Amino acid sequence: MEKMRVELLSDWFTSAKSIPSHWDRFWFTPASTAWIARVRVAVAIVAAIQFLVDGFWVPSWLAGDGWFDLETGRYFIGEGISETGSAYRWSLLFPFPSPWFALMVVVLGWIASIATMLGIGSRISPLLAWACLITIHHRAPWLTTPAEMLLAAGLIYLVIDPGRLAWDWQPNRHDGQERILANLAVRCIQVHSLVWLCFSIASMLQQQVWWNGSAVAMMSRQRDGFWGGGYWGVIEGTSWFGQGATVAILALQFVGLLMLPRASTAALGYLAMVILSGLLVVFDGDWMYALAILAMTSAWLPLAGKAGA
Amino acid sequence: MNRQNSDLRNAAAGTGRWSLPIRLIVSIAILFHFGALALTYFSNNSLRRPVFADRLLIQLQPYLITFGWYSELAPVALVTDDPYDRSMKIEYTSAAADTQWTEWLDSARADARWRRMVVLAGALVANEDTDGMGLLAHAIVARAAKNGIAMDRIRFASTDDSGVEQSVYEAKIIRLDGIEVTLVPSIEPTRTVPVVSAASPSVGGE
Repeated sequence: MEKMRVELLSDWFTSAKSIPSHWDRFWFTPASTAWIARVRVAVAIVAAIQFLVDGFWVPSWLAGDGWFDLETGRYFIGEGISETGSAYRWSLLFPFPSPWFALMVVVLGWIASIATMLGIGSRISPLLAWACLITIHHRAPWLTTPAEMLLAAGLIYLVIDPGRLAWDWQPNRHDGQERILANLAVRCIQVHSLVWLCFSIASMLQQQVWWNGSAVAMMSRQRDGFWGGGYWGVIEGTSWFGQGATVAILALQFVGLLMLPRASTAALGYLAMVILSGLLVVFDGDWMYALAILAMTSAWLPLAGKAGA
Repeated sequence: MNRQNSDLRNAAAGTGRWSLPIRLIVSIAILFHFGALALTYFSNNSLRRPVFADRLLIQLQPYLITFGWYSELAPVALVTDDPYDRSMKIEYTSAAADTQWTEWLDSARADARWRRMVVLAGALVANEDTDGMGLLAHAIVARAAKNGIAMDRIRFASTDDSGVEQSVYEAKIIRLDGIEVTLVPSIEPTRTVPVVSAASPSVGGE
């Protein structure tokens, strides 16, 4: 008994001693620049679509006399009230409230996203796309969608190392271009996507509708039609289908959380994310959120012939 | 010295192996960043967080808000139990004599921004934030006027669980000097929206 206890303690100490080397390997091993380039292309494509969508609402909503006009914007960031952090909301749409300026921000963001996708402009392009996204976000944080939060994170991590050019990122080519910064960028996106999944599950489980299975039915009543989403139509809260779909949305996030970080199960974890995104589109109508989840979690998919996690 | 220079060059280029001090600094930055991120994410939508989390979030605001990590308002739960998290209609009358409300927007059929806007409106009503609600309604009335829709009264109506539509906010629109509008909420007629801004002169004075 005593011997077993000593062995257990010894095992524990050996494992504990290996934590720094695991940490070191996870964050500071040089990784192929093709890996981050693949994630960069995915994030940048979704960001470009996001800016296209933004073109339809930002000028008419966030201009000085828009649906969410300047006074309203200032009031809702808590301007002048201590501890609201309004001083740090540096949106350029406050000093320049013209609809043309708002449109310019969107167009600039779109161009920067395309440049990011192509790998043009190195770190400047993702930084510019991020700045445009955040200038919109800070102007009206109440109107922010989850997709924008995820994309902003993805874009700023790409500033660490955007990887190689778009036309030179074939997954099967390892030409010795490996950098620690490329690894850091991928790892940040990976960890961020997991923290986000935890956050999403925790946010949902705070709400009774996600426990009693009526969340999807509730969504179906709130969203109707082409723009609003909810493509399935109204679902009864007591139906097996509605309750099953609610459980599925939660369960798929748990599956992703458990399977994405292991190289051997990452592909299955990603499949869970694909199904989750499909459900989000069908029941929530949020295409952008679905695409943003797919882009961010794609960082967990290893390069062909390489262990990714 | 040469070794140090080489380490710095490697760190800058991201190639080779970084020295221990550099790895240590980056590790601390990573822990700080993801620690702050976890704190803000798990405080999202939660009014039941510990006091120390509140204090810490305020201390971290310069980093979290400046860089856009602050997710306090992102609707990640998709739907909530909150009584105001439901679809809403925005209706108006165009003349004082009108008794019939005209539907202008049904959030269930609108895009995600309008859905966010009516959730905000619902939250304001629930928190009895008359100033905020007045500003929101005022912005809508002024913009609608710019788009050629002259409103005399505006109301936000939601449908309760039994299917009955009820008004959650209603206001009369007063035009001042023909070009400025202000709102008088029907449940608090002594109070007007604290700010006024210019509406389109073409519809003013009706």
